[in-house]
Parts: sequence; C-alpha cells; structure tokens
Amino acid sequence: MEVRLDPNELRTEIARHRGDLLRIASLQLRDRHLAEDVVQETLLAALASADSYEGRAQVRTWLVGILKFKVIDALRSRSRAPKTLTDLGAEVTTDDIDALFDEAGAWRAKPRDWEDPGLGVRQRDFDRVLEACLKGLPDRSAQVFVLREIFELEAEEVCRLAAITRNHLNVLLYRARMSLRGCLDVNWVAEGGAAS
Amino acid sequence: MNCRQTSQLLSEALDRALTHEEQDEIERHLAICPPCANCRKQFQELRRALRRFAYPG
Repeated sequence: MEVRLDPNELRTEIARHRGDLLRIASLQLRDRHLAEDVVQETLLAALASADSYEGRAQVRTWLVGILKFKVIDALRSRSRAPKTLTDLGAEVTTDDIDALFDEAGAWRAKPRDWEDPGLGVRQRDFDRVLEACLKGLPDRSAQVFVLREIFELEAEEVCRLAAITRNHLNVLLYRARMSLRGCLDVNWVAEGGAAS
Repeated sequence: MNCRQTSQLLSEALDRALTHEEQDEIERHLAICPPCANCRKQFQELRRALRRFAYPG
C-alpha cells in the first residue's frame, strides 16, 4: 500500500530505523565505527533525497536499499587499504565442516526438524537467536554471507566485491549456513523453539 | 551421494541452478534421509529469516 508521509513524519521515520540499520551494517562490516559512519551517510543520503521518496516501498526497505550501496562503497574503498576483503583468501580450511561428519560422510549430529517459527513470540525468539549466531560467525564468512543473504547480491557480484573465486564463495556460504543451522539447532531448539 | 555431499549441494542450490543430474542425486538421497531433508528445510528457513531481517513485513 502506498503511504504518503509529510516531510516531518518522514524525517522521524528515517531516524527511527537508525538502530536497525546499524545492526545490519555491523553484521556485514564487523567494525562498529565504520558501520556508524556508513549508517550516518545512509541517513544523510535519505534525508537529502526525502523529496523523491514516493512511498512505493516501506521506509525501512528504501533505507536498506540505500544502506546496501553505502556498504558496497565502503568495501570498495576499504579494498584499497592494507586490510582488505581479499584477505578472505586465508579462510579456506574445512576443519569445522570435517567435524560435523563421520568418515563415511554421515551426520554426527543430525539436523533437527524445525517447526515453522511462524508469527509472534516464537519468530522473535528465532530471529533473536539467529542474530546472536550471526555475530558468532567468522568475520570473513559473515561478510560474504550478509552480502548474499541480507543484501541479496548475486553470487557473481559478491565474488567481484570480495575478490574471490566462485568455488571459494561456495565454501564460505556453505560453512556459514552449516554454522548457523547448527547454532540454531543447539540454542533455539534448546529454548524449546522447535520439535525434537 | 552421502550426507556431506548432499548438504554441500543443498547450499549451492541457493546460489546457482543445479544440473538435472545433481537435482536427481539430491532427491534420491533426501527420499531416504530425513536429517538431510531437515537440513534443506533449515537452509530455506534461514534464507526466509534473513530476508525478513532486512525487509520485515
């Protein structure tokens, strides 16, 4: 539904989402100060273009769209600095995955049957545990995982930004997904969120 | 195909179109392996939850 906001309402609405934008930026950039800078740039860009906001998308959706490009700009800028996303090349071992399977490639701890988290309290529980699990991912896996799954960049675009091969990206995304599902199996199920 | 190989392909299926052969291999394995079927549902739920994270409602 298209909702028109007057300029003051829109400014208030933009400011209201600052905390959520900071959480998302921090998950990707893994650097609180840089995330704050990027969110500040996002909010300023949104305020500067508030007149062009036509209400076709939710304010949060519009802001996340701006944030995505600000994060990409930050990554490109940082890739020219000594500590770069190309450092991703170091994270290629699969010891963590090896530990999940026996010699025949069968699960050591079988994935649980999650019920649909659904709506309301249980979904909030799921999302809260998921966010905690995301913070526990290795930095490099988390960086490419957020680009792919939260900002919804195509895999090829993530490879270009991270300066990694497609095979390497597959490994990083796989280990991130395996880590998150295992983390939720232990922590969310343990809280009674899913059936055994 | 074992569980490890299946879980790898289940992850890749979220990022690229699998070949018909890969898809057949997965389906054969999932038909006899409830834990891997759970793994697929978990990967799908993770994707839904993460999209919700940025774009709720």
